[in-house]
Amino acid sequence: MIPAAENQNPDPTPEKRPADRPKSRAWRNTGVWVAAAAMILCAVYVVGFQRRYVKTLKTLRPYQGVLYSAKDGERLIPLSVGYRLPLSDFLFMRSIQAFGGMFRGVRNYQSLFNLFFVITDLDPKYIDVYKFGNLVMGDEGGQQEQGIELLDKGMILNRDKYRLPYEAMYCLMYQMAETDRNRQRALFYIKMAMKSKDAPDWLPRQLPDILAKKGKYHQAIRYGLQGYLEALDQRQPVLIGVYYRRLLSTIHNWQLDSLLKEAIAFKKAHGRDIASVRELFEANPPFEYETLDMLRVRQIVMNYEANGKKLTPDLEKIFQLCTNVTHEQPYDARILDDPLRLNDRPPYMVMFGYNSGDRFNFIQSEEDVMGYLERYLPQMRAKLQEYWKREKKLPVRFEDVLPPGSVVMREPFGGKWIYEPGLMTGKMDTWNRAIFRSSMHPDK
Amino acid sequence: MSKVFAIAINTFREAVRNRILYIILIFAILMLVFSGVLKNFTISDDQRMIQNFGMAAINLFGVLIAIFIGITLIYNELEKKTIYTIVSKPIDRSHFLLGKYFGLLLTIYVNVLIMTLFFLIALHWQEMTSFDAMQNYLWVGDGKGGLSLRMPVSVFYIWTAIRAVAFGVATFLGLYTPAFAAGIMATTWMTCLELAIITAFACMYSSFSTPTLSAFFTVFTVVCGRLSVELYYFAVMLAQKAGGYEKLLPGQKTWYNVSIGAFHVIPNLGLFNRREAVIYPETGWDMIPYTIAYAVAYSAAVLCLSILIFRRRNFK
Repeated sequence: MIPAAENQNPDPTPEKRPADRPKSRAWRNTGVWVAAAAMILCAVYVVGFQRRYVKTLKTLRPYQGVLYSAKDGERLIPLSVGYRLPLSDFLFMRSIQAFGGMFRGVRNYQSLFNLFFVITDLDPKYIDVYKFGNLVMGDEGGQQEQGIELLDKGMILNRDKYRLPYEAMYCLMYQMAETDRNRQRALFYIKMAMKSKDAPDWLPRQLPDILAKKGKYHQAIRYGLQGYLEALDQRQPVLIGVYYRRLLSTIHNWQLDSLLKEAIAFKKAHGRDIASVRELFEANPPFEYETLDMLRVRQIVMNYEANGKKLTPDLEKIFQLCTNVTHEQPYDARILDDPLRLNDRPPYMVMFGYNSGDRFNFIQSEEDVMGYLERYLPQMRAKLQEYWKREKKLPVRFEDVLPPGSVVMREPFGGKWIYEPGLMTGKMDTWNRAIFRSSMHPDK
Repeated sequence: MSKVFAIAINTFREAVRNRILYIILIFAILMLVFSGVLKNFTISDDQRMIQNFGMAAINLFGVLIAIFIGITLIYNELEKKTIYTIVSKPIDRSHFLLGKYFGLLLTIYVNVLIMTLFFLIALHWQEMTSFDAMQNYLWVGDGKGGLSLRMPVSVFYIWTAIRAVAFGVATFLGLYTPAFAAGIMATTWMTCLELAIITAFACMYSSFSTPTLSAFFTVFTVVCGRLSVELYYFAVMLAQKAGGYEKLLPGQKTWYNVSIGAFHVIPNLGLFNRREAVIYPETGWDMIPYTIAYAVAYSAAVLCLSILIFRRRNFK
């Protein structure tokens, strides 16, 4: 609502002077052309200047100067004026782009490391930043300690997230040097991970392995047995297999460790190496070592299953009953638990080494091994004979007589099939025993 | 009350004709739609990126609307001299100011709700067009071990747009709240409370100064309000370093008292920032009734102060 008086113009417009008169069309056009030409000239200069300026720039490093050089994001919190989460997102995107940027050869990991600290100061619950930071610093940058430092921060600020201590454990166990200190630290992190609220059920399965590597075999066996009994109670065949194999592996390592220690002690005492493992057990007094008696475990499990009782509540009792000190020699038949991985592993010296598939039907003695080989050898020779009859010649390689991927391609229990077609004498009834035999079985 | 209502409605009508409002609104909606692009730049949870960006945009543009419309609220009336015709009628100055305030607040709330609606639609769209969702919805088994398209891709997008709008409106009305949209409406209401205080300040500044100064004062108030808790931390840090309040030096005691006093007087706008609770649901929705009461009380106090100033204002 404007008063009418406001609309009245008190000063009538004076008569236009000649200079204020509208200019002619030609003059206006000239002005437009001059202005356009001036604009183009200015634009050309601006672009030309920029092109020259770009040449003075030495190296473009997208993360330097832009990223924060200080490892402190506390000051950014007030500066974000209430928008710290979006700011942390933007900085995280910046770190991703900087990491995956085009100047890969000259990545400045320290700047990135600082940036991860800044982001996690802004949003301490941003789990992805800790994980990505560890990946960048550890896996890519080779700075595992810095990666773990970042995970430490995340672990302290997010105690309910198992993933951060778990990644630290993984880094220490499988990426860093196998030192006693690193294993001790890995043990700490796995325990922290297990205490987290969101710890998955598979996490405890990692513990026996770490404990064993740390040399804490007694605890490793106990945790392994606990998992095995729980799996039996829950009737989970896959878990039973996993725990069972880990238990066997841990027993083997325990025995091996005990033997090595005793062998070192023997050398110190006698000034020479042992001739064989047997020498330790034939000494006076004989070598004794602690182990888990799997035969006894088997008996107890069968008894419990027959009575329909749960095993887990009596874990301590079973553990005490089955752990004993023995002076019996471990079965040293160079048995492997997996015949397909013959050449990938060092010789085993376990008492109960080979799981034939059945939960309890494992190899317990040398007689068992020989029994298996006696059944295998005629089968293999029969295959060879079939090939001879069909092709009228012997195969160049023994594998040719078997279907691809055959389990018995390699001899189980650590031995080696020996195929020597050059030994063929010509007589059909005797040749195959000579040209195909086992390195372990006496039937040569 | 009817006078206040009439002025409020007129203020609302006047404000919605303001071009600045539409420019800000369009820009805000573009930003919300753009948030869907941002997810492609991260390797982490894309929803978090969209949620953070969207909620921050709603808050920021709400504040901008409050500032840009609020600062000219009284000034325009004085500049156009329309206030003479109003104050010459049997309308109390307090009614005029309250009417202006509630009219502006209504304008801001309508805008914030429009932005939230667009944001929810954008959020549903992003969810429906995510890789997993498309794989599950668009492809079906043909019974022969292969996959076939349930519908042409163009039809899928049109259909998804319709679904996104429908679900967005349903979420907006509280009829359907999926996990990824949980807490967003509550966050919007908290933003509205914050804007009530900011608008009250904008009204107050507008009642005695020019738009430029009002804008400066309001922005300053917003920044101070969001950092007010830092004053408290500063005071506590002073006391902790000295080993207790009693051991503070006289000069330090003054700083301590000024900081604590300022913390209590300056609006605690950080209280209304509950956007973190959408990303991390385990963090707090605590003290909500007290927060609402705080916003009402603080806005009322600022409005009372505005009325006192406005009553003494000489329009000559």
